Order: sequence, then structure tokens, then C-alpha cells
Amino acid sequence: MTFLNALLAFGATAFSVPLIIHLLNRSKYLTIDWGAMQFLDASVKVNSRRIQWKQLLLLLIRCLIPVLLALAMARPLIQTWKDTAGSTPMSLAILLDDSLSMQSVNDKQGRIGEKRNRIQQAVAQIQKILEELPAGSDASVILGGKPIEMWAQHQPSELSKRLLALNDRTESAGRLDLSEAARSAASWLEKSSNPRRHLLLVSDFQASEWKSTQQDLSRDLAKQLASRNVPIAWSFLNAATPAEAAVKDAASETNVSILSVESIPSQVVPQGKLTISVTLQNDSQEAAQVPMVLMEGLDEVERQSVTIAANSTSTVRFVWSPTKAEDTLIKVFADYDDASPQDHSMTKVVRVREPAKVLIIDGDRKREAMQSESDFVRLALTPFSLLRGEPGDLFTTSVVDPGGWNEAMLKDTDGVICCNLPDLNPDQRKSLRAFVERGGGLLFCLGDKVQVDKLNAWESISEGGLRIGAWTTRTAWEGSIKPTSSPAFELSKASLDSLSSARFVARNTLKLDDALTTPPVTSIAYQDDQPFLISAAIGAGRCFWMSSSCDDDDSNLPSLPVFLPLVQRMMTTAIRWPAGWKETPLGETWIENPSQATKLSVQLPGLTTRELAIEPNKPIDLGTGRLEGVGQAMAGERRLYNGFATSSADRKQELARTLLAPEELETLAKSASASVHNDADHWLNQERSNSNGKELWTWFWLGLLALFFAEMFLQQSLSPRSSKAAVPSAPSNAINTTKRGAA
Amino acid sequence: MSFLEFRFPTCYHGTFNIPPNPPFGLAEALVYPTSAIYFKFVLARTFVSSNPLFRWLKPTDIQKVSALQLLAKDVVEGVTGGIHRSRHIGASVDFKEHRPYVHGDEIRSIDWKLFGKTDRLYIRQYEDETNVRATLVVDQSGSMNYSGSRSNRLTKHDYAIRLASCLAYLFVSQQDSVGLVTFDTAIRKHIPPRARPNHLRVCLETLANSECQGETELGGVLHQLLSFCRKRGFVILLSDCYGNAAELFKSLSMLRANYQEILLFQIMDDDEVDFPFQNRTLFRSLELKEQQLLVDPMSLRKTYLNNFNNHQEAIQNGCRQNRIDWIPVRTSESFSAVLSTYIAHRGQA
Repeated sequence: MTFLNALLAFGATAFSVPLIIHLLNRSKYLTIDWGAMQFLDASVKVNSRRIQWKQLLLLLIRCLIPVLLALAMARPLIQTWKDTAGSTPMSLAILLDDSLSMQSVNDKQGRIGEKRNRIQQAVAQIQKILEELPAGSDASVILGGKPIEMWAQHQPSELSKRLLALNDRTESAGRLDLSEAARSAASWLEKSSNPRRHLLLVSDFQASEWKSTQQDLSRDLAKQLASRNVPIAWSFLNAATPAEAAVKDAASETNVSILSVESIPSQVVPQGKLTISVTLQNDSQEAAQVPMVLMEGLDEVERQSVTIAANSTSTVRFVWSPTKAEDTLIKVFADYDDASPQDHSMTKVVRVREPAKVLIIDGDRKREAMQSESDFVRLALTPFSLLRGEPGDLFTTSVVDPGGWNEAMLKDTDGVICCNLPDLNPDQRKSLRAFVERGGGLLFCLGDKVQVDKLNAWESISEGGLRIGAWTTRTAWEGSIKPTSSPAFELSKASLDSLSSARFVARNTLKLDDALTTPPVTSIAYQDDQPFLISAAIGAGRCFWMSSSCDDDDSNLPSLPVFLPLVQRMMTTAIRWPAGWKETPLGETWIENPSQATKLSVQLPGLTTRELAIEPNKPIDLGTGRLEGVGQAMAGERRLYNGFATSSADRKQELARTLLAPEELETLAKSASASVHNDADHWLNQERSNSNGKELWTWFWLGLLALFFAEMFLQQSLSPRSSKAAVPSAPSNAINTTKRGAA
Repeated sequence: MSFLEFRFPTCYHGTFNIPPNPPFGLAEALVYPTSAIYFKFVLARTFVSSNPLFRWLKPTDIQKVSALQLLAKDVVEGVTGGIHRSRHIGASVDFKEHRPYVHGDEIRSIDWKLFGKTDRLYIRQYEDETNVRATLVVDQSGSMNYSGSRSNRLTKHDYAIRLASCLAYLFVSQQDSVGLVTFDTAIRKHIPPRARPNHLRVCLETLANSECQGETELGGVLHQLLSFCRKRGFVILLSDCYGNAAELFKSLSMLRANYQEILLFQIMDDDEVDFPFQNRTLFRSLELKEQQLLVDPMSLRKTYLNNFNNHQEAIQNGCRQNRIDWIPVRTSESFSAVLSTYIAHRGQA
């Protein structure tokens, strides 16, 4: 026997209360010196045994009342006492695998002739089960794909209606999280009031998932479910048809899928051009003509048709120009009809931002084109606008003379480049130092006009200035860049090859200050390990030093292809962008590590805003997205952005069409102590034939009622009020007189 | 300390103490008719009561019973003249009957007027009146020492003493002889009946000094009493009558056969009649120290009352069969009122 509310069973110890009261009362009594002992003695002789028996019975009843009350509330369940399942209400937790593979289309035809995917098929089966549940049953649905979603405490009829929403659901879940979903289901069943508790796992049992980890996991789960206070039975309902399970080779089917979507560059400005490369795969034996569609949100942007040879891959490139400076979800869709339409689309979140403003202070500005250092830098930062007159550059630039700028101009600037600047006065140095500390990017390009002795007289970085070390005067030096295995700024291989072909004729060398608390980072070095590009973090920003000029006086670098990306990456790195950025696959948890904020306001795509209290420097789980889009977390005024999109690596594996064969599924079920059902009818028949423990609380309540009446009866029979009727009339006036003279 | 000295002109002269909380008020005493009781106040520094009886016999009670007359229903044998019918026929004013003259009758008792009318000799007979010999038989067994919550701390024995005192006063005041017997398992004190006023003091002192103890042996005691009651008279039994009812009436019937008119005052406490106890109680016997019962009174009440009722019924039947006046009395009742009621009832019967 077990108890559904085992904790309340401890209330049975309350039987000691009447016992203690009884014992206490026994120890207390009055003492009376009594005359009429002859009547009392006779009464005791007659009644003692009967009264003792009655009192003991009354005590027993009073002890039994709290015991029965506690047991009735604890809801005892005798498992060896069988009862038919069909009449007993049950709690059913349905764990529905809604991972991507469940969107595969079944072979069965729907009523209106449309093909139904496995989710729709599973929903129909579940609805049938919910309709047939005994009266008083309750049910819940746990969507097992990452992140799991629970529809708990629903009446079977309401739940059945709600399940219809799954048929048209556009949200995509991650892989099946069996462990977490089963734990949620078990905890819901634990709180259930019904003695029959069942966990029904509805899945297509994809071979790639179930053959490896889930098999061991399901065995462990079976043990955990069986070891519960009230054991939880579980069974498998196969959402895939036997015909689908019989397909052993995915290649035998016609299937076109999108493997990956990449955007170049990763960031873009409004009106800029973004190249989106889509890799497609044709797994069939015949070539396929696939119309490809690029969508921005719900709007179609571009449509292309591509022919993919049999068993090969192909790449389609779209060029997309964003119109607004906001993070945008783009979707690539293959308008092709095959058995797995769920792999015909893929989403990507693209970051679109306003161009960064760069102020170029040129110490040797000339009127002729391409004679000043600033001309080369401008060309590197704004190639589209300068060469083609088109928008789309990541930066906008303005050039001023050494004395032509002030503190106010820095406030509206993201980065500053000082080219061939002879010297800076103390106020200017102070302004620039404050600018970098606020998060601005600063680049010093040395040159022939630089007065090294004045430069070396500046305040050191550790003293609140900008000097990184002692520079030597510009000397002739012939050499090149040192090749390195981990180049800075993630430059492409072509750019790196280009960088190694740079030849220098003059340079400045640097001796670093010993007093620097944070050692500077040498991003690119010369052959003799002298730094070519060195930087140091100051406050929230970063300051770069280039030891040669940025024009063609000291090297041929400006004429090399690497010059443009190098300067752009350098400024991109130097400038502190408004917020961090990363793309998270659907179903994965977005974790941030905010440094200062104490409160975060988090909104994920398709979900309501949540307020989270956080501890500084401790990673925090911001939630898991089920819907593609851009989530944001507000840490004070700072924004944390996160894009959610399907992961291309997972998709290939998730969409493998091979399912567990029936015999493999049987083996899995046997090891997990579960039964396998191919449809709802089979499961319902099996459940009806099963037997379960019988709950006894009704009998306990009846027993309790009977004890109450017995207690009242006994109490009445022992109380003086009941014996008052037998009191003889008072003999005070009974004067018995004899007649005079009768003797 | 203040005290009162009462003088009773008809029966007793003595001094007694008024307790600090007297049962009657001074003002009440002052308004009594001085013809029946006169009193005077005597102040003294120290006072020793010469008679503890007056704890029991209050002037108010004497006042109430002094007007009563307890007459014998049966003819009695007295030695002096009195108010009761004598078994002897003698010179009196109360004509009884005529009977034919026989040889040996006194010539002077012949009714000559009737001889003139009928020419036959008849003797005129007159009824004689005499006094009565009353014996108060007071139970002083242990069971008489019970006082319940509703009896103002008055034990049954106290009640019996008060009642006996009143009766003794009553008999003495109507020139009858009164005697006293106290008993428990046997007769402890026996004072033969006397009619002298001083004899009342002796009886009352004996009553006042009696103490309750021991068991009751009513049957045996009454059997012993036979030897003391050889002449016709009153036997007034004051007891709770606990014990064997059959034995009691066996002895009482013998007394009755010995020409004794018997009054049975059965004195009971309210608690004994109603048995109102509810909590768990240890009952210790007043007669046998070693006898005690720890019981739940509520559960025993019904049986107890049945037993008690049966006993009372047996006593009532026994009294009826033996023509004994049975007066059941509760200690919560006023004994003078009980006495008045009884005598009034007796007069009507």
C-alpha cells in the first residue's frame, strides 16, 4: 500500500492525543467520604466489566478517528488490489517531440487530400486519446523540442482544442530534450490527484537521435519513473508510419535542402550591399530545378532559380541592401516540393547599423589628390562613396587640420585618426584621452612631420596621457611584415598574403614604457619583432599606434589589397560599438555576462518581456528562443542584442530521414520498460486492459463517519443525561403513616 | 465576646453560647413573644458553654415545635396522667361504655339511673388517660457522618440530633417520658425514659456528645432494644437505614409485636438520593476505612439509582406491612418543618 499524499499520513500519530487525554484524566480524581457504599459497591460489581469494556471501546474509537482522518486525507492506494482501468480517472502527461524532424510529411493522406506532417498526425492521435480518457482525468502536453514548453493543468477537452494550434505553428524547436521534458512531466504527474499516472511519449523515433544517447537516457528515465512514490507508467506512441520507418536510405528519396546561409560582410549599413550565400544540396538521383526566394521578414526581396545536379551542392548568392539601421531577420526559402519541406528554409539575422563617424586630423594636409595621409585613410574607410559615389560604407569621414578640431566635435565622433601629426598641446591630449576612455577609437599614424622629442614628452598612459613608450626618430629601414599563424583582425587568407608582400623603406621604432600596468598588444610586427601596429586599452576604448606613415612614403602598403580591410578592421576593433552581438541557434539558451547592471529587461522573439535581477560578473540565462528573430536585453541604457536562427550544423543531422526500424523500436521500448503503440486505438485498448491499484479513501471516510456515530452513541450511553430518566422520584414527601388505633 | 442567656420556663433553664455567626439574628430573637421565651443578655469576658446541645436546638425550632402535640395512635401504658389513651379504665370524665354488673364489681360504679329505667344492673366505664414512654433510637454509625454539597455542611447525624432534640423537647413539654438509645453495631448509650424536665438535659447532652463511627447493625440493635421496651410506647428510629432491609424489618416487626408504635425517620442526603457526581471519583467508605472505590460516577449512576430505589421501595413496603410511620427526610430540608408537616399529616390520618 502506498499513499498519494504520503506526508499527511503522519497525521495518524494524532491518535496519541485522546490517549494522552485519557491517561491524564485517569490520574486526576476527586475523593469523597461516602456513606451509601452498599449501593455503589453493588453497582460496581454489576457494571464494572461492562463499563470498562465500553470505556475502552470509546477510547479506541477516539484514537481511531484521527488515524482514519489522516489516512483518508493521505489517500491510500492498494496496488495489489486490482481495479479496472477503464473506470478509474488518470493523469496523462503527453510528451510530444516537436523537433524539426516531426515536420516531415507522412505518407498518409489527410481528409482534404493534403499531406499531413508527423506533428499533425500526432496531434490527431493525441486528440483521439484525450477524447477517450475516463471522466475526471486530467492531461498535460509537454513539447519536448528545445526549449521545452509545457501546457499543464488542462482539461482533456480544452487541451484537445489547444493542440490544433500546433498544426499551423511556424515556430521551430530544437532537438528533443528528453531528459528535461520527462522531468517536467514527472513533476506534473507527482502533483496529480489521480492514482493512475501515465507518461506517453509521442515521437518519430529518428534513428540518429535514439540510437545513441536517448537509448541510455530512456532506460534511466524508466527507472526513475518506476521508483516514484506512485509509479508512473510510460509508453511510446510512434508518430511515423511503418512505411516511413522502412526507408533505410535517405538518398533513395528526392530531397533538396538548404545547408547553410552566410552573409558577407557580417555588418552592413543602410543602403550598403550585403552578399548572402546560400548552399543547397540535392540528395536525389536526379537534377533539380529549385526556385530560391530571399525574404526580409514577410516580404519577398529576390527570387532566383538554380539547377542542382544529382547528389551535389550548389551555391546561390543574393545581394541585399537594407533600408533601415536595425537588426533584420532574413529568410531564404526553397520553393520546392519534396517529402521534407522543413529543410527548405533557413533564417539569418543581419546586423544593420548606422555608419561610424571618423574624424581624421591630418598634420601634413596637401591640396593635391592622394598626396596627404588623410586621403589614403579616407579611401580605405569610404571606398564606395569616394570611388563609386554610392552609399554603403561602414564609416563616414571628415578631415581637419591639427588646430581645426575641438572638444565638441569629439562628442559626435566614433573614431579619430591622427595622421603625421607633429604634436598635440596638453588640452588636446586631455580631450583625446577622455574621448578614448568614453569608448572612442584612436589611431596614431606616424610620419615625417612627427616631432619625436615632443611626442616622447607626452604623459604616459599610466599617468593619464596617451604615450605608450619612447619613439625613436624616423630612420630608413628595409624590410617586411613578419608572417604569423594568428593574424590580427581575422583577415582573409588573400589579405594576409597581400600583407606579407608589403615592403617598408622607413619606420619609427618603439621602446615600451616599463610603468605600463596593462601590457600593450602588438597586432602586427615587423620581421625584427618591432611593432608595426600596437594598441593599448584605455578606459572603454582602445588606442592604436602605427609605426610608419599611412601613405606610400614609407611603404607600398596603401597600394596593396590588404590596406582597405586592414584599416577598416582596425577602426572597427578600436571603436566601441553600442552593444555586443551574436547569433544563437534556436532552442539554445542565450547567456550573457553583464558587468555592471543589476537588472535586465529581456525580450525574446515571440515571448513577453521578463525582468531579471542579475549578479555582476556572473553568467545569466536569459532564456531560449523558439522563434527566429532578434531578442534584446536592456541593461540600463545599454542594449544586448541576440539573433535567433536555425543552426545549419544541427539541421543536417536533424533532417536525416532514417527512423528506428520496428524491431529496433521494440528493443528500445523493452530496455526502457515501455510499450510501443502505432496508433491511439492500440494505446487505448492496452490501457483499458491494464489494471491499477485501488484507492481506499472512500472507505476510510465511511469508516470515519461510522466511528463518529459510534462515538456519539457510546458517549451518550455513558453520560449522566442518558441515565437521568431512571432517577427515582425524590422520597422527601413520601410519609407513610398508619391509622390510629390500628394496633 | 457577647453571649446570650436563654431561660425556658416550661422545661429548661440554662445558659448557652451563641456562635460568632449565629444561625438566627439578634433582631429575630428580640421579636419573639416573651411569654414563650424570655431572655436576658449577660456580658462577660469569658464563657464556657455548659451544654454543647444548643449547637443543634435553636430557639426558633423550639418555638416552632412547642405548639405541637405528638399523640400516640395506639393505647399506651403510662404511670401518670397524660394526654394519651391508657389501656386502663378508671375514673375519668371520658365515658367509654356500659357493661352488665358481675360479681365482684364495686357497688359504687353501678349506674343507678339506668337500673331505674331498665331494672338491670349495669356498670358505667370511663376511659383513662396516661403519659407515653417514648424512646429515641439514634443511629451514630459512620455512614451518618456524610454531608453533601447541598446540606449546608450538615451531616445526617447532625440532622438526626436536631430532630431528636426537637422530639425530646416535644415529649417532655407534653409531660411524656422520653428515653434515648444511640447505636452503631450495638447499643452505645441507653437512657431510660423519664418525664422530668431535667431529664431532657441528660438526653440532649448524650446526643450532643455522640460521635459517628463504625458500621451499622440495625437488625441486631433493634433486637437488643426489645429488652428495654417491655411496656407499650413509642419507638422513634432516626437512621439512614442503610444495611439489610429484611433484617431491619424482622426486628421492627418484633418490636411492633411488643406493642411499640414505631416512627421511622429515614435521614438521607441529597447526594445519596440524586448521585450527581460526574468526574472520576474515589469513594471512601465512612464505615469501613479500608473500603474504597475509584469509579466513573456517570457510568454507575443508573445502576446506583436503581439499587437505591429498590432499597427505598423495600423499606416503604416493610413499613406499610408493619404499620410503621416512614418519614424519609433529606438533610437539605428544615427538620422543624418536616416535623410539623408530619404531625399535621398524622393528625389527619
